[in-house]
Amino acid sequence: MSVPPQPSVTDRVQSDMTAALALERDAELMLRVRDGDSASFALLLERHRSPVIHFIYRMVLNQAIAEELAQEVFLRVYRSRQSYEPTAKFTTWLFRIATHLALNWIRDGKNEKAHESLDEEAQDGVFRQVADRQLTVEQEMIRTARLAEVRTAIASLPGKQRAAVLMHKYHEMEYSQIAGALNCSESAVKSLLFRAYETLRARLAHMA
Amino acid sequence: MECPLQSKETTEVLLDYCSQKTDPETTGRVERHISECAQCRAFADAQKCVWTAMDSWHDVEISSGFNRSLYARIDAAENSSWWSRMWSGSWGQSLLNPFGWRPAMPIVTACLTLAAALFLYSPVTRPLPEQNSSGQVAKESVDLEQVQTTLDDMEMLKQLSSPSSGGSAKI
Repeated sequence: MSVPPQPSVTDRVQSDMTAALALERDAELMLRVRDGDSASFALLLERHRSPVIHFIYRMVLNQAIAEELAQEVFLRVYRSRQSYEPTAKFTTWLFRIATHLALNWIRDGKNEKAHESLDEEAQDGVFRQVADRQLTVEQEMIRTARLAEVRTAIASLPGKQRAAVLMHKYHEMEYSQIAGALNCSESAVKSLLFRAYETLRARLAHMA
Repeated sequence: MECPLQSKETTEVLLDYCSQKTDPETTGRVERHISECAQCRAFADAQKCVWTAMDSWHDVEISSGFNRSLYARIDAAENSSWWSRMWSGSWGQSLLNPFGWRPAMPIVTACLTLAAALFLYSPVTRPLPEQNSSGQVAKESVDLEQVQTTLDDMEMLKQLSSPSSGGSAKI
């Protein structure tokens, strides 16, 4: 098995320091928003808009719904500015709101919108991704089929497992952050991830 | 190194290794173990395959009007009155969407049934008539007078209709 080179200690320390500075920056910006600085809200929006939309999109598999829910996330952040206290990491708080909204949408709209989302999947998800012009038509079809398989496998996971996997894989969040966003313990997160990856290994191992 | 797959607590080491989150020392220990343990090797290979497959799911393009639409929503929310904000919030949605109250419905139904049962089957306590009231005595005395008068009238009629009486003389 070939494993890519692991980051060195220096790299990790630098990465952690950058992350810490970013966290302080978020809290500082949010405190400024609390004091009425709308430019700071615009900065926060610029920094976190993409991760929130992409996370919700992978949860609900519908871009229009994802953007609507992401707007609701930022609307709630703005409304809560007066009561904001930098006790938890800003991103954890943000993802907690996003997860809550996405899980509620899945719970409330699953039956009605399941067929719609399957139909839209081809138009909305696969074709909206930027096509690689280097690939032949056949390679593009294979890529599309593989992607559909990945999406279906992830969509088949229970809500919390799905959220945990997406935060772990695509947003590189620590166990403690995922636990904060899902409002559960770190050991519960590890258990969720273990079961989720177990399911994904069973469904996607043939794609090697 | 103990096999990470032997306990759930240590399996995370393998997950971290596959997602390249382990420090170099742990990475070295895991790699040495994997070279000897076929089970862990299979786990790591499958996990790496999942990781690679998931990489194929790229981010989507965000609509150009996202910010404009968000700020419009913020403006609308800021300009709305406090009660409309309350109704548009989760509290209001709960009231507007009765199915959101689904868990409370059995409790409410049980309470209503209990109340109805108590209302229908509770013993009705009617006030007893007052035995020694003055009204009752007066009423009884009136009744006795009427009986007496009636009896007198009947006696008088009997006397008038009897042949021996002088009142029935032939004209």
